[in-house]
Order: sequence, then structure tokens, then C-alpha cells
Amino acid sequence: MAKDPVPSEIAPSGKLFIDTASDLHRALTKAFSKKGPIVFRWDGVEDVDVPLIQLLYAARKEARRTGREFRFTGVVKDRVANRLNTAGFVSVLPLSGEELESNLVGY
Amino acid sequence: MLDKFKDSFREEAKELLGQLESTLLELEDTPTDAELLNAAFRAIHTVKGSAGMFGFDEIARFTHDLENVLDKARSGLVPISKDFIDLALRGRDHIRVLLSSGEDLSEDLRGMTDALMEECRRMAARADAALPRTPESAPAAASPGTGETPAMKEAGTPGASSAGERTYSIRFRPGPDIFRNGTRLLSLLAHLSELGEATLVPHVHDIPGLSEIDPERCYCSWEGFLTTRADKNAIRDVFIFVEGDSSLTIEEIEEARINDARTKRLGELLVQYQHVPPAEITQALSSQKRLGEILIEKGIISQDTLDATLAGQNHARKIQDKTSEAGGALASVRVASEKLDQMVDLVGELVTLQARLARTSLDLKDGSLAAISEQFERMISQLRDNTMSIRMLPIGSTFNKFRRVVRDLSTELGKEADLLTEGADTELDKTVIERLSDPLVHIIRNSLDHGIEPPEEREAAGKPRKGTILLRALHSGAYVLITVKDDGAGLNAEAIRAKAMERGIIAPGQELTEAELNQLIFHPGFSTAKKVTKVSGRGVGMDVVKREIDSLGGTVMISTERGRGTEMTLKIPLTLAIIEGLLVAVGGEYYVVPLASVDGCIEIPEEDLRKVGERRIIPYRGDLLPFVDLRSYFEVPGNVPEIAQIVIANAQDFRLGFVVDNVIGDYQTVIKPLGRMYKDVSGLSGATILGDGTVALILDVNRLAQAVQADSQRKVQAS
Repeated sequence: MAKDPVPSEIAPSGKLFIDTASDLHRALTKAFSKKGPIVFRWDGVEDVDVPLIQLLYAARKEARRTGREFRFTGVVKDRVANRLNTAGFVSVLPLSGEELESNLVGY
Repeated sequence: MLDKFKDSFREEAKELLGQLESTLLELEDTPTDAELLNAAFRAIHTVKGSAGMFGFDEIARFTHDLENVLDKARSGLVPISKDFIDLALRGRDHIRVLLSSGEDLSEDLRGMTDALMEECRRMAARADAALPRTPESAPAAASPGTGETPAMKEAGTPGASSAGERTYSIRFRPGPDIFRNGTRLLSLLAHLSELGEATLVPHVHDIPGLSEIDPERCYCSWEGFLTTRADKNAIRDVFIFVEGDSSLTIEEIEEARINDARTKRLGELLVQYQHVPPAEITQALSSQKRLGEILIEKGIISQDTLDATLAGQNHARKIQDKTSEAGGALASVRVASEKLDQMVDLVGELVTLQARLARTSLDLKDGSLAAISEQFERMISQLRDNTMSIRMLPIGSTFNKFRRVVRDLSTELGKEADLLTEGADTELDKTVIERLSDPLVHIIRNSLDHGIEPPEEREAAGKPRKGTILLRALHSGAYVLITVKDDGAGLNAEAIRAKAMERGIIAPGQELTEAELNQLIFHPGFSTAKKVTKVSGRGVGMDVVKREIDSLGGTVMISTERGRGTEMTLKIPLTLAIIEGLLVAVGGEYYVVPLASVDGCIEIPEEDLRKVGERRIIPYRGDLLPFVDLRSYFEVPGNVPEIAQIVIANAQDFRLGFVVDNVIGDYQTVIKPLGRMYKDVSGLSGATILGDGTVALILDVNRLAQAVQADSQRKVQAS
């Protein structure tokens, strides 16, 4: 029986502003080049801005197009949840990556 | 039109200043209560903002400095001391004076403004000098765009009040390279939402897949709504550093459109905004899918259009909820009190007209008309009760004024006293409340000046240094009992007796009951104070109190205990406009006895009444009661019926009877004042018009009781 491929986990930390966008793009692209699901872990994310969010939407599109599994996990910090809520990306304050995934507008 | 807004501002500002006074007085008692301080700040901030908006420049100029002191107090830089409360209260008083002054302010008034502003600045400067300047204690920086400090923003958020708010639709498409200059869009949007209540919808459909995306390029745009007090320029200022590369549209939305968004369904809104023809909506609704999904599937609308329309709907509902939460602002309506008075007058006229209709239906012996008249009477009765209840206000609205009197006067007299209040929710007709205010101020001033002893004297007598004045209100039938009770020295019966003899009010050796002795303090010019102060001692005041309470149809009772204190109770009718009365006839004349005073009715043969003769005493339920024969009292001509009717009424201290020819029945009595010709007629408190146009006179039960008492005293003295 073939083993399930090990999920690729992307677990960035700190404040994910424009200066980290290219690195994250590379990390996501690399993860999509491998087999198996891709997991984005929110535990270490202290703050975000639009470039990261765009990358997540782009990754979602990529996953749909290629039939790959791309999901969120971990704890979403209050500051991050508030930022996303204020900008209208979520209408409720998500506590976990899973909750965020199911509430992101147009995701 | 502008005058209308100015009047409205004056009215609202006065209300705010009323609240501010009570907030400051409470703050003085609990200086650590940050919420009270915030409330005081918000009140001043609101007055300042609105004053500038409506052209009350002097108020805006003055409140700026006062607000600054309050803001420093909020930051802990200015202590909540007596000096601080004094200054804030005087500032509040000054704003009231400025509000009441016309456009052309006198030099004196401007001078007062300058002097108070100088005091505010000195207090603020002292605070700045006293504490080391740290980042925490430094004044908060103004936010770009609004020019407001964070504190001001807090005061101006929609949560605080919905007055003066507008709703704007905002479309923002950032330039594609916006991130490259370091802009953080989520911070910018957070800043925007600090201006008020915001609902934003991001458009994300332009974001490409991972292999096509440029991670440093912006693909998102936003559409949304903001309800705020900030103007369009303040909103635009939020985007000031990004506007060059971006596209920004800010449009004010009409109130009607917001209401539509709140109440209409999605389909109706899409048709109204001309996004979709009505036929397409009808067709889409016939399927089982959600309307939005179908319209997007068919390519009739875009996801953006749907999102924006839904966002508008959500925003309008959110604002509605918030407004309701913020004190049910939409649940009440502000109405000028003159309009209310006019309404009461009109209801009074209706009551009179209804009486006429009832009379006519009786005269015509028309069953149908009588049925209509009865139904009409029931409705008028409800309308009367509703209208009167609208005029009822909690007496607590005047209690704040008394708290201030106690505070200021005790300082002036070098005494210490607290004012406790009970029953602030007790409701009374607004006219009665207005007329009660001055008598109560007199009574409280007297309590402080003559009743409450100096702190040292109280300590020597084993009392707490601080005296207490209790102001209590409670309902008692158709009356309200208002008590002012102090724990001071009590009335000095010997001093009152001596002064009354000196003034010739009583004869030497004249026996008086305790109640009669106490009532002497209401005699014009009567005072036992050894020295005349600017507060009291001239004997002017208590007689005015009595006169005013009498004119309200009320009574004053005093009980006192030497060394323990004095209790003064005012018994006041709930309303002065329409009362339930008992209509009686004497000869061809009609009289109304207030129903609240009526204890019962008895019949007695005229022959028996004659036997009673000069004693004028009748038996009633085991008691012997005095009576007044209204025929002889008011000198009404005509024959005496064989059976006399006697109405038993409760007066201030005892019951008494009124001999009449006929008891007609209960009657809704619209009280009309008696003209000047009747000002010397004792025993009447007003008049009313009956259904057939006849005038009936309303009996003043207390005055008639006093007349009976005086009469019996004369007889005793004569015998």
C-alpha cells in the first residue's frame, strides 16, 4: 500500500509585510512543486498586510487548478484577526487557521 | 432654517450641561470613577464641536480650554480636587450663560470668558509643570487627517451618539505599486475605520494564481461604507499619502437610500440601483437557488456588485442596531414643551366638548347618540390619561440643582453637609415640577442655614461633623409627598413663640399646639435668625414657599425635634391641568370637589341639620366632623331641599363635610384659572366649564378647612 505523502508545512513567523512577500512566494511555489497537501501554519504570524493575503488567495487558486490540498492550521493571533476583519476579509474574528479558511471572503 | 438648528443646539446643549452638572457632582464624591470623568469630557467635547458648527464661536473658544483641563484630568495630570470641580462647574455655568445670551455679547461677558479661560490655562499649566514629561504623559498626538486627538475621537465615535453623523460610500482602488513605497494597506484601512462605523468589502477576484502573481504588486480593491461625524475632507485625509497612485471615490449617501438598504430586499435594491431589470429578478426568484448566485451565474451582475450591495445592506442594519443600543435614540422623540402644553389644552377642550355631547344626548333622549357619547367618553378618558402621562417627568430631573445648592452653600457657610435623595423616579406633571423648584431651594437653604450646625458644634453635640439633608419624593394617591429632612438643630419652639409675640402675631400667653407653632415660620417677615446673612434671616422665603405650595393646591407640614432635626413635607397634587372631580349643585350653582379628597357622601334631613345649629358638627363613621354649608358660605340664594347631601372630604389635618343640595356625579375637570376678580375669594382654586357651557367652581378643600378651623377658634375664644 502506497504511503500518503508528507504534507508540506509553511510556518512563517513575525510580521508578514511587503518585505517578506517574495520569500513567502518562493516558499509557496516550492511547496506546490512537491507532492502532497500544503499546510499554512498561523501560530507564528504576529501581523499581516495585503501582500501575504494576496499570496494565500493565489495559492488557493493554484490548489484548485492543480487539484492539490491547501489548508490553514494553527492559532490566529488577535491582532491578525482584527486586521483581517477591519479590512473586510472576514466578518467574524477567527481563532484558528481552520476557522479563517472557512470565513475568508471570496476564498 | 439656521435659527431652527441653533435653537435645537441650545436645547440639546442645555440638556447636556444639566447632565454635566450632576456628573461633576458625582465625580466629586467618587473621584476615582474614570467613567464619570469620561462622561464629563464627552459632554464638553460635544458642546464644543456643535457650538463651532452652529456659529457659537465664544462657546467654542471657551470650551476648548475647559476641555483641555478635563482631558488632562483624564490623563491623570490634573487631580480631581475641589478646585478642579469648582472650575468645571463654573465653566459649565458660564456656557449656560453664553447659551442664553444673544449674538452680541457684552464686554463684561467676554471678560468673564477670558478670566475663566485664564484659570483653565493656569490649571493646565500647573499640571504640566508638576509632573515630569514622559511619553505616556505627553499630550496625545493628533491623528493625521482629522486633527483630533485620540481622546476626541473616542468622544466622537458613533457609539457615543448618532447626532450629526453621515454615511459615505467609499471606493478605493490602490495603485498597483502601492506596496513598494512601504504603505501598509491594512493599517490605512484600520485608520479609516477609526473615524466611525465602517463596513468594507475587499474585491479579490483580480488576484492571479501563484505562478502568475507578482508578490509585490497590489491586486485588491475595496468598496464600502462609513458612518461618521468626520467630513469628506477628513476621510480623504486618511488616503492623503496614497491618493496619487490610487483611485478614490467618496460620496455622501442620502438618508433615504440608507433606509432603503436597511429595509429592502436584495432584489429590490438591485432593481432600484439599475443593476438588474425587474423581469430578471422575477425569473431568478422562481428557481430554488439564492438570488445572488443565479444573477452571477447568468452574468447579469458581477460578484463585486453583489458584494457591494450586500455590504450596503449589512452596514445600514449595523448602524440601525448600534443606534438602538446607544440608548434607544429612535425610540424617543424630542418635542418642544410648548407643543405639549398646547396638546393638553386641546385635550382639555375635547373633554369639555365631550361633556357637552353627553349633555345633549341626555336632553335629546337619543339612544344612538348616547352610545356614541359613551364610547367617545371612554376614548377621551384614555387620551387624557395618555396626554397627562406624557407631561409627567421624574422629579429627579430637579434634584441635581439641589445638590449644587447644598454644595455651594455649605462651602459659603463653612458647614459640611451631604444631600441624599430618594424617589428620584417619582413622576409629577412638568408644570408642577417647574413651580416646585424655587420653594424647594428655599427650604433646603433654610435647612442648611438654620438647621445644620457648624461642624464643631455638631461634634460637641455628639453628631457626625457632616450634616445630612434628605430629599425624598413618593406617590400618595393623587398626590406626591416631598420631604426635606435634616439632622440639624430642629426648630426652637421658645424662640418662635417669643418672636411671634414680639411681632404681635400671637397674643401673650396664647396657647398654641406644636403644629400651630411650627406653622408660624410661614408668616410673612418671620425669622428667628439672630443675624441676617445673604442666605437667609430676613424672613423672606418661607412665606413665599407657603404661598407657592398653596397656589399649587398643596400643603406644607412640619415636624421637628429639638437637637435632632426638622422634617418638612410638601403634599402636592400630581397635576394642575385635568383632575377627576365630584360635581355637586347648590341652588343654581355648580361646584367641583376634587375626587382625590372625597371620602364619602351621606344624606341628612335638613331638619336634623338645623338642630345641629351653631355647633356645626355631624356624626360620620363614629367621628364627629365639622362641616361647611356651601349655600351660606358662598351666599347662594334659593330654597333649601328637605334632604341635604353632605360630601365628606379629607383636608390637610382632618376630615370635614360640605353641605350641598345635590351630588351629580364624577366629572373630568379641566382646570381653568380664576380671573383677577376672584383673587380675594377664599375657598376656590379654579373653575371649569360644564357640557352646557355653565361654569362650575372648584373647591379649595384645604382653604375651606382652614376657614372652619379659624371659625371654631373664634367661637372658643368668644365663649
